[in-house]
Amino acid sequence: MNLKNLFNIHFLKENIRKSKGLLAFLLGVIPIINIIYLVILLTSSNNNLLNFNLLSFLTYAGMIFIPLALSLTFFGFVFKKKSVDFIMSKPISRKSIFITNTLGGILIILLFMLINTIIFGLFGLVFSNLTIPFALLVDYFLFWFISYVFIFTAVNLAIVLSGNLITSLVVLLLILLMVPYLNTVNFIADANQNDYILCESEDCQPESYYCYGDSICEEHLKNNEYVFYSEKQMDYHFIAPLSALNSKDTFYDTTSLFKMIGLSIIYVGLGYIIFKRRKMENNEMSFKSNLAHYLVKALTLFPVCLITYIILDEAGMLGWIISIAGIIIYSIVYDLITRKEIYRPIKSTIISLAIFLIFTGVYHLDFKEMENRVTVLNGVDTLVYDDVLIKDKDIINEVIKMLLDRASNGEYYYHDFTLISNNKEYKVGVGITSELATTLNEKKNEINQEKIKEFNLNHIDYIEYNEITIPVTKEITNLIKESIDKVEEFNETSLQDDDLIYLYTYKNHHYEKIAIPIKISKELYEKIITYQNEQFINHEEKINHESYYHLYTYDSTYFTDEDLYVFYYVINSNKDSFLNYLKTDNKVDMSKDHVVVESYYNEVYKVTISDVASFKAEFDRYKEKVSDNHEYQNLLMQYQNMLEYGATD
Amino acid sequence: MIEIKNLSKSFDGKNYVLDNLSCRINDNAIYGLVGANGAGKSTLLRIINSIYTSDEGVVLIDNENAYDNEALKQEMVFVPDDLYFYPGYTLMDMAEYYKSLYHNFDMNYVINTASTLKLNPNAKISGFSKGMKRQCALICALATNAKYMFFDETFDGLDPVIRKYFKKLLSEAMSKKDTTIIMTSHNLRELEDICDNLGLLYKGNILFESDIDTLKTNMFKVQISLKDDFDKKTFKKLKILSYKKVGSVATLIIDEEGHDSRKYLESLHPVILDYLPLTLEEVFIYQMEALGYEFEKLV
Repeated sequence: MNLKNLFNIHFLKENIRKSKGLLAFLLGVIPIINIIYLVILLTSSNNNLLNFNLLSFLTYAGMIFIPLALSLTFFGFVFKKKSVDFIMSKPISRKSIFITNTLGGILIILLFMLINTIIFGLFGLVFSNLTIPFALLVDYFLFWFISYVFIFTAVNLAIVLSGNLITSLVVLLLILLMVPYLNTVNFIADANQNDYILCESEDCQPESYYCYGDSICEEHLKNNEYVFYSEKQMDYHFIAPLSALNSKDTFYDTTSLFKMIGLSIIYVGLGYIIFKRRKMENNEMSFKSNLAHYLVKALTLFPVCLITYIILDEAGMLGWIISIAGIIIYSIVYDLITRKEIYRPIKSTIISLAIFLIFTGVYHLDFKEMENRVTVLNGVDTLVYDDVLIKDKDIINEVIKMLLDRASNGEYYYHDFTLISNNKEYKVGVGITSELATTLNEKKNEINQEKIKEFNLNHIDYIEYNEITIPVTKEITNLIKESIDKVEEFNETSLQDDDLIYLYTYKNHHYEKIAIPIKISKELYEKIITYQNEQFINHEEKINHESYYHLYTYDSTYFTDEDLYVFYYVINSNKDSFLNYLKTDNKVDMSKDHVVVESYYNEVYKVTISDVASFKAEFDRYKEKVSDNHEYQNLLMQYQNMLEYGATD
Repeated sequence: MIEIKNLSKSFDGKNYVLDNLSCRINDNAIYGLVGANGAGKSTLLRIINSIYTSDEGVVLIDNENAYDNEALKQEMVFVPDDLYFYPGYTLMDMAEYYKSLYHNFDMNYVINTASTLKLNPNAKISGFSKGMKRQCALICALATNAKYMFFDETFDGLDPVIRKYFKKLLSEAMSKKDTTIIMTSHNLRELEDICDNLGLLYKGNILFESDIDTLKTNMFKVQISLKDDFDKKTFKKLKILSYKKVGSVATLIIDEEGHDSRKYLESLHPVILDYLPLTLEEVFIYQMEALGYEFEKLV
């Protein structure tokens, strides 16, 4: 057996030639739409840190359609007698047809993904305000290449199994959705049940706890098991078409990826065996075998029977009549769609009704079993607080204690937590005392300090200050590295947002983010503020329209509410003077209190002014200049009216 | 040589389209397969060409199993009754497609034949008439120079002039390139002037087969009248397949099988003795009647 016997390049070339339209769409139109998408992103914001989901927007949208179209192009011939005659009589073996078409499809997907990845990479390189880390590009390429190949192989399998397009789509849906459907039904059934938590030590036992006469609760209490209410988080690793449901902040899921690789290999193997043995006369019919027809129909009835089960549960005898009528209609419609005939109507209806009874029984037993099922958590391994994972047993026990406490929590602060026990997540809202809040914040800071130490400063992808992107230059990176040890001198809890710079690195398929005080180094502070101020001035000088100016951070000892109200008008009316002031008199000085002015017109720019007193005096001069303006007078009047209205209100 | 051994095929597991069919088709001949609609002609061709799989039996070509045999398929080309062309393809596109798959494809043959037939090789086939589409398929098939060619309802849609032209092309292919051609039709008249051998397929089996020359030279229609009264027994020394007497004139269908019927009949001093040629259809009718079948029901 040589390679030529397995892969026929001429056959592939001809297949590609006859699919010029689809290929032009895949390799031309979609990348162009991606380019348009990137251009829209670039023009809508001046700082774009692209994450996996943003990058995948269009790719995700096409993930069923594109492999399906590709698969139909290569294998759709099996649905028509004419095309079967044409292809199968040619001097190419079944083995070669299957392998050539499969590898050909994979090759086109590879090309499609490479083109898109290269476009993203080039945009990231050319446009400094678009951050696409290389590792993200690798993730994008790998994940979507494998996902598309997975769907392609699943469609191929569905096509070689079926005799017409409709049936192959039904088979495809079953292949892709049946397992996630079963998981979801199981999750929904489980999600509504109460859970208990085992607390044997006093550290986590609540001070006040009642069962309100609930005997099951009392029974559990004897074993130190306490009921708690939570929103359960699904912890499934669904395959690509459903990856948006994986309750993660990114579609990327390593487990899904490995599942898809494994399943793709299985689908290719099965597809190969079935194609080699396929009865090619089976076209325009659902399946060659009647048994296969009934089996697939039965599987499609499973989700349908959930609906009828709900109807039965709600409507009693009327529910039975509606359900039976519904099943009969479904059975007829299914046959008409997939076989273009009502195949043995009496036998078909009897089988469908029998399956309906079986599935209704299965649902009934399953839901009954769920109702009685009690989950007891033997312990909580991890507590998630403000995205920080806390494993400290004492803190976890303290939070559980407050979670279980039935006393009024009116004086407490409510906060969301996630409890993780045996890899299952339970989202809870807990009223916590201010002491516990302080402990949690200290712990959070401690963990953050650790995160800073572990953060790879050699691989910073993105820097943000005051919500504005700062270019990742060697100079800035070195300044951060040199002064990072000083970070411990700062108390993070006392720092405001504009005291912090945020560093991002793309690691383990998501962005890791740390916040460090901007004032850890005078040089760093000056560098960043100077850069941001220059950007502001350059932008404002370029535009020939009014911007919306306002004080982003300000000192209320200098600026009154009236100042804030008229700020945008005063600055716009004195724009040249203001820009001149920024260029000549605004020296960056870390030791002084500062104000930040934000301008907005489609994009946001910020300028930090170090000498508040000097700027206030400047601002007063601007006000003086416009004081006789009719518009300014009107603004002041509006402000006065607003105050009066607010007072009477 | 094509050798079919005990071939069976059923589409529903109950009714057999081909039922334990065996036959042998010699090389360098044009073999015509006739039979009524549903007799199994197309199914047989599809199994030979590995489109369908047989339930039982085997097809040997040059002593090799033909099923899914890529090397053998280089020497086989099939034109089905229902033609297929890729959407938007021209005759040249189709020829390129065939060329990429058949090693001995002759592109000049396509260009020259298309020119003779006044077919525009660069026009989209989808815009062609049924007959023109058939011409395209036949040209591409003949250009493959395959050793075995299979044509299902070969001349369907062709007008008499084009039909004659393609019969000439098929004969040329057979004589110049040692090609074996198997063609089917439900119309016997279509095949009689081109085939060397004929097989009659009935209910999934070859009911009767023979080479045409033997059939035509061995059977005669004789009209005879004798002075004295006579009946069928008068001719008992001859192998008579059919006997009809209207008034004093009898019409006999005689299978010679080595006998010299004319000598014997002349010895009876007939008043009228006419030897008339038989059409192939008549040959088949009388042969089938001799086997106890009503030909009208078979074809």
